[in-house]
Amino acid sequence: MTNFIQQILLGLRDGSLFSLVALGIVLIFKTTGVVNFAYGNMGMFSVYIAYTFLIYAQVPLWLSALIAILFAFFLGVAVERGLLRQVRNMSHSAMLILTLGILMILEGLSLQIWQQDYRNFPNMVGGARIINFLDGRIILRNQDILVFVVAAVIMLGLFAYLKFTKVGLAIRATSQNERSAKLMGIKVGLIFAVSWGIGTALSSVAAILAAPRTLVHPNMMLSLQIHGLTAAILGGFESLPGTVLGGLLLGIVEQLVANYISDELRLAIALVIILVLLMVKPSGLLGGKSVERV
Amino acid sequence: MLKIENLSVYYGYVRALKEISLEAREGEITCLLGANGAGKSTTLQTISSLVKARSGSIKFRGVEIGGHDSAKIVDLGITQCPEGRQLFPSLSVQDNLVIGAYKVKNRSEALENRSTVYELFPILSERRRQLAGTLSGGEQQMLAIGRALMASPSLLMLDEPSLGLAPKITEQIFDLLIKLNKEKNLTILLVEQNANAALKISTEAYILETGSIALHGSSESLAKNDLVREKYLGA
Repeated sequence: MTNFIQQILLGLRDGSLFSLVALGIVLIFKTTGVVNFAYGNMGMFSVYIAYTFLIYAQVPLWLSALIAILFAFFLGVAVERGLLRQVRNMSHSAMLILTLGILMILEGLSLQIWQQDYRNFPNMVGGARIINFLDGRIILRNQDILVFVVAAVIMLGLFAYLKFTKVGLAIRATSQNERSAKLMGIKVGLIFAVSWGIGTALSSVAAILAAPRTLVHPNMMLSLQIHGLTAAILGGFESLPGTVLGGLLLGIVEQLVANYISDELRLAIALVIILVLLMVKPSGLLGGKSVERV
Repeated sequence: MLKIENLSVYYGYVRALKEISLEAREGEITCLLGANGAGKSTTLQTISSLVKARSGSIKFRGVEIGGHDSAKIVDLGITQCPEGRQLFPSLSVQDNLVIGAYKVKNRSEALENRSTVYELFPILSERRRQLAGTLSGGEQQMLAIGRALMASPSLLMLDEPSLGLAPKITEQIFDLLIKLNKEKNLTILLVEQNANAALKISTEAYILETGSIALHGSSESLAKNDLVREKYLGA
C-alpha cells in the first residue's frame, strides 16, 4: 500500500511536468494554430543559458533560472515575430516545417556551443521529507514538492489570467476568430507574440525542473516533449483543464506500469495512449461538445 | 464623414475593386448594393484595414486613414459588423460584448455601452451567460450588431445583416438601424443584397458591379430607376 502511494506521488510529479509542457504547447496551438515541434528544444536551450550563468558566471541558482525563463520568453517572441509571422499566410505545413527547422537548429547550436557531454544541473531545493505512513515510509524529495507547487501555481495562474483579465479574454477571442479579433481592435500580432512568449517560458520552467534528473544535454527534452504532446492530445488540443488532467493521468499510468510491469514499457505506453485516443476519442478526454451552430 | 476616392484593391493578380469612390455622410444611412462578388465586402474590409488597398484614398473626417492598422480604425470610431456574424462562439454573450469594448479605455463608458446594448436587445440580457455559438441566427445577428456598438462608434458599417434571417427578424434589424440612426445620430454604411429594404431606410445608395460603382444617387431615385428595379428589386 505504501509503495502504491509512493508510486502515485512519483507519477504525479512526472505528470505535473508533462502538464506544464503540454499547457505551453496547447496555448501556442490555440492562439496561433501551430503545433510547435521545437517546443522542448527551446526549453532545453534556455537550460543551457541557466547552466552557463550558474557555472561560468557563478550567478546564484534561482537568478540563473529566472534569467533562463526570461530568455525563453523572448526567444518565443522572437521566433514568432521573426520567423513564423513571415510564413503565416502561406500554409499551416509551412509553419510546422519551420518549427522542425528550429528544433534542429537549436539542437545543432547547443552541440556546437556546449558539446554533447551530459552535465549535472542542481536541484532548486535539496533534501527530502520522510513520512511514516501505515506500515512503511513515503519519501518525498523537496525538489518534487517544488515541482508540484510550481506546476499548480502556474496552471492556476494561467487559468486565472485567461479567464479574468482583458488580455486573457483577447487571447481566447483571437484563438476563436482571428479576423473578428482584428475588427475589435485587438492587436492580433501582439497576442501571438505574447502567447509564444508565455508558452516558451513554460517549456523553460519544465526543463529547469526536469534538468537534475534528465541531466543537461541537447536531447534532454525529447521524452518530455513526447509526453507533453500526449497530454495535449488527451486534452484534445483545446481544453486546458483536460490537458492538465491528461498530463497527470499519463504520469501516474506510466509510473505504475514502470513499477509493476516493466520499466522499459514506460515510453511505449505514452505512444500507445496517443494512438488509441486518436482513434477512439480525437476530441480529447473532456472534449466532445462543439458549441458552434451553423 | 467617410470619403473614399479612386480606391483599387487586388487579391494577388485579381482586381476586386477598380477605382471606386463613395461617401458616407454624417448622420445618414448610406447603402452599398450589388450582387455576390461585386466587391461590397471587400470595400468594408478595406476600410477596416483587414485588406490593404493598392491605390486610392480613404478619408475619415477629412483625415487620411488608409494604411492605418485595424486597431487604429476602431480607435477613430469606425466599427464593423461583419458578414456572417463572425462571433466568438465559445465565449459567452456577455464576453462577446466585453471584447467589443476592447479599445474603450474608460470602464464606466464600457459598462454604459453594455447596458445600452442590453436595452436595445433584451433577449441578449436574458442570455448573457449562454455561449454565443448556441444562439439562434437572429440572436447572433443582434449580438454581432451589439458587439460592434460596444466601442462607441461614430460610423457603423454592417455587412449583410439580413443574411439568412427570416423576413420578420430582418424587419426588426432594419427598424433597429433606423432607431440607432435617428436617436443616437449614428452614421451607418450598410452593405446589403436585400435591395428593397436597404433602399427604403437609406438616403444615399451606391450600386457595385464587378468592382466598379455602376450607379449612384439618392435611394429614392434609385428605387424608381428602371434598371435597378429590373436587376435588383425584381420588379
